[in-house]
Amino acid sequence: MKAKNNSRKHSIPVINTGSVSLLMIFIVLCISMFAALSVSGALTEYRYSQKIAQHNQDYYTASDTAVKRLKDIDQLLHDIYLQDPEHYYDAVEKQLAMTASAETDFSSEEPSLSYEVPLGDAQALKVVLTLNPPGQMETGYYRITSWQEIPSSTWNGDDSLNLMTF
Amino acid sequence: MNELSKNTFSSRSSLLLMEIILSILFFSLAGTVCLQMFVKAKLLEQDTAELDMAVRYVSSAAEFLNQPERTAESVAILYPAASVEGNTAFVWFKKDFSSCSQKEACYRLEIRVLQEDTHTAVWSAVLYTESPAEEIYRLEGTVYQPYTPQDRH
Repeated sequence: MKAKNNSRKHSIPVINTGSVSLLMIFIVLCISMFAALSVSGALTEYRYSQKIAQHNQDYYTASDTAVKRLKDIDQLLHDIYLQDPEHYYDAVEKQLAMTASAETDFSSEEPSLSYEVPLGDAQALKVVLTLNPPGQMETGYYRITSWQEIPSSTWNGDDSLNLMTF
Repeated sequence: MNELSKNTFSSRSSLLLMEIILSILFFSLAGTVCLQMFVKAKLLEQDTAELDMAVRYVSSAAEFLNQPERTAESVAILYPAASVEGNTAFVWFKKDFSSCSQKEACYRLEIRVLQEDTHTAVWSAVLYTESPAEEIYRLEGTVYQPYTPQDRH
């Protein structure tokens, strides 16, 4: 009977001092980790959405500028054609070279002109117009053959490494 | 001897009790901070969803308006429930961005088309929250109808 009592006294308790603290630290660490992960995930998604929204806004701002420049060019083409339809292409080439508002290419059968509008830091909106020949101007003096985003900075392919030389 | 073991047991119990009380305090403090972080994450997610939908709807309206013949009245093609007042069209949306009447609305899409001259129109598409009225996203642009030799200044 005595031996039984002694064994009861020396039995290991279910909750030891310190085990509660350890469990608590583990739980708090887990919860704080989940909280940090969810905040960082949500923040990354929000920043990405903002980036897309900003890019969209930049595109429409550039597009607006491109349309305004298109309007100036169209009015110039219209004035030149009304003044001298016989020497239309020559006059257009001369006038556009003077204003330098667009790059021109009059070497081909269908002359074209192009211009770029900056879009953000690393991109540009490139517009290419092909001039309609006299007699085929029912829809206007030009047709838009390209309206696209292009990278404005050229890629630097220098991927050489500074290796130790002997 | 028996008295000594009783004392040891009682001091152990009080130590354990103290530890549990301190742990609960620490847990409630850490829990409050973590809960705030979870709430912040949830709010950020809501803002992201709102901005995404705003960009989608405003861009859709912008593409629609980027045609020379479009006016505020023609917005009804895109949104049959739109209300047109002069050169401005209003479209109302519920929280889930389904079209609805003004009474149930959480968001308002305002589309404006102004004719600058015979060849140029300026448009804007803005999405607002209904109450309080705050702008979420805006796009603006110009539409140009090209000249033909038949046009005279």
